[in-house]
Amino acid sequence: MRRTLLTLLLALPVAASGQVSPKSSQSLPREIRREVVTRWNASNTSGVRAADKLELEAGRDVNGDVSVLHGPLIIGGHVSGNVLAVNADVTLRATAHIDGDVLIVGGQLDRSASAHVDGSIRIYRQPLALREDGDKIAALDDDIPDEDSWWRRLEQRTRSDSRSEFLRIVQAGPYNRAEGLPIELGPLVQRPTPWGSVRFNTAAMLRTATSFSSERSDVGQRLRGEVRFGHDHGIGVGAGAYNIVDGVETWQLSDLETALAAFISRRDYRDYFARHGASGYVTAFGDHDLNVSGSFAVERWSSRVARNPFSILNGEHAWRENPSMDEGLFHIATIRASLDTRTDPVDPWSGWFASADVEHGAGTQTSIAPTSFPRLNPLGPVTYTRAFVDLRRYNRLSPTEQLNMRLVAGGWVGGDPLPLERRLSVDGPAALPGFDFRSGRAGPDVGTCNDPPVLPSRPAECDRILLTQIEYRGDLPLDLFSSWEDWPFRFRGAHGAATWVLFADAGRGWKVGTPSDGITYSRGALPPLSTFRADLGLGLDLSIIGVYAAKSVSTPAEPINYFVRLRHRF
Amino acid sequence: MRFVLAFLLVLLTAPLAAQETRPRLDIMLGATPAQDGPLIVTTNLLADPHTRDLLVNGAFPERMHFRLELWRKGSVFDDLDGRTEWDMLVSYDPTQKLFNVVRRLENQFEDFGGFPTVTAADLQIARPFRVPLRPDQSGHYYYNLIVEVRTLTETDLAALQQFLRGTPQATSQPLSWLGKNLGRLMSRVLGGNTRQYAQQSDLFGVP
Repeated sequence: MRRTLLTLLLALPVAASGQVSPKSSQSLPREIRREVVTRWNASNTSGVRAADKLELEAGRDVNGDVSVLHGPLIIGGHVSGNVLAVNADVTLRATAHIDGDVLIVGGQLDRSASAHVDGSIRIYRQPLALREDGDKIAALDDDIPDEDSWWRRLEQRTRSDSRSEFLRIVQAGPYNRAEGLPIELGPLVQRPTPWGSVRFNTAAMLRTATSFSSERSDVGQRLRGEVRFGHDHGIGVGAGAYNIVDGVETWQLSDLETALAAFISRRDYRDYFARHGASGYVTAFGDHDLNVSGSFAVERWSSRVARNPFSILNGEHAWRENPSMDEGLFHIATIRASLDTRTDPVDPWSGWFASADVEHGAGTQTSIAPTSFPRLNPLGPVTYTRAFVDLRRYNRLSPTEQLNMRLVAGGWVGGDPLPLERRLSVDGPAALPGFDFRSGRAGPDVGTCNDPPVLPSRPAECDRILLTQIEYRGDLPLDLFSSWEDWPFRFRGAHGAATWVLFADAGRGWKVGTPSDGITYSRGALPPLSTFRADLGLGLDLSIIGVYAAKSVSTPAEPINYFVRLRHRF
Repeated sequence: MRFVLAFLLVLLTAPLAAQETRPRLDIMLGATPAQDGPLIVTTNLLADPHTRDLLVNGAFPERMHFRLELWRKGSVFDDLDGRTEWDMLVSYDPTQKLFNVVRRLENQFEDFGGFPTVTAADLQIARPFRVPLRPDQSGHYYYNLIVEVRTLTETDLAALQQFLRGTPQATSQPLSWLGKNLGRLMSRVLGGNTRQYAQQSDLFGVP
């Protein structure tokens, strides 16, 4: 008996907590109270006004405002003005059409999907405590201090991006063998203006894998400023000066994947070089579908040696050597354009993603890096032009299946041979996962365009690349992790916790010149498709982490490769 | 033997217990989907312990961003026929000890007032909400609902404080929280304060 009573007593608060009504003592924001009182008291001179139930049937036309106290208000006709409902519910039938705004306090809105409201709709569930004085009203709690709408302040803060930070500490790039973890440390000022926004930040770049001796360029710098004209769309103009370490090819694995692979397993999938210079740019922004930008930079490029940063695994092995790069002073003009109509950039189910850039460089090379092929790059003045395209199409076949395709092409277009920093490869888990990254193979390597004897660092040496990827994805009706609250699986699919992936890739790189060795082709020629590398694979995508297996089909002797990717492959 | 049985009992009931607080999304179609939009019901969006901790103890507002997509079945590929997005904000006022809830959908703003508990605020969020997104031509359709729940942080330093307290910011920091178990490490690295849920409706036809 006592147990039953105790159980009932414990159950009561649970039941009580199910009630949803707002706390009655919470009052409306002052500006709303004043607006409601002002509008109601002025409403007796125009429009339609009622102190109890009011129904405007379909076909009825009201020229002016409609105001109701206590209500309810039912609208099926046309109102040319505004609607005010005080402590009243409002129903908009399918034939309702309101030209102005709707303001409801102390009530709810039941709106047919076909009802039209041309202005704004504001609904405050809190009732207005009022005193009726004839045909006028007065708010009872006008002496309560003004509570500035918390959501309005919050929206203004989050929307305006206005902030000043005396000390901003952010990660400046992926963890890598040339820097360790680069950390940007410095102030940031960002201000919206009536005509756009202004942003300025300056930072020191600290690299954890260095000695912090400025004589060895271990501490970098970055100074950036940007002015934007327009809020949702417009033109942006910016400039900056920097002394940073950058990746040679950043289009393959994401920064996060590159960093995790380096930090966890001591495998760094990028090569790096130092950039010291200044740049200016103009960008047209707006509808996130299309963005265009142009930039001009003056930079000094130089090599970076691999340090010995910490990794969780394989600490007994040395890092892959970071290849030497061409050095010199370059003037670089770049035009970039991107189009993104994907339904969701993180988990796209349909749409296009296209990115293209054309780069023209002119400068003076003071040092030529060693490569496996004899270099034709001259010391002294050089000019080059390079183009790069990444084109993707996402197609939804059904609620649970999709077919996605990607085409990547780029490389030398004209002028002198590309500096090593601008050469390309199709090698590794992001391009052709059936082939191990930078592994030794007999004969010319069509992934990196290395020719034996290859250098230990195996830099990317291709003048041009072409890569196609296709994948077929389908929901897997399993629900494995619903009880794992802290599992990184935070995206819960409709039908299950995983997606199976079937994929195929084909691609290769080549050099441009006098045809030879199956690596070099003339400038207008495409290598035969039979020379392309190809692989097939399948995997399980757990929404954030995917595990995959890939097998080369063009080179059967290659073993199966197992790898992990974050989110989608592309 | 009793220990083994007790352990098995805990193992079996843990998922069931988790089910009670597991976020749930429902898309309810009416009898005439071409005339009325679907009813959306989302429950337990604030049930996550980390979310509640940030909301109550950290006083960081929670933003729930909803995206409802209407897809039309095609002969080969399905097409996105329409999309509606809306937000709900939940903020804790420590002076009044109330959890305030507002919703914004295009030009419609709704202030639900304050609630005494997170559970009460969650129940308000869970109330069915009709979204004016419906097909305007014949064909076969389905809805796709994506909900992103995110803790709003204001500055990088505030996010860093969260990070040091064990509550990560919503940007990628691959060197977070070594020494914790793999799940917590990967959560910090990959998820941050953002949780995302998705649901699809059944296929329906419009004559």
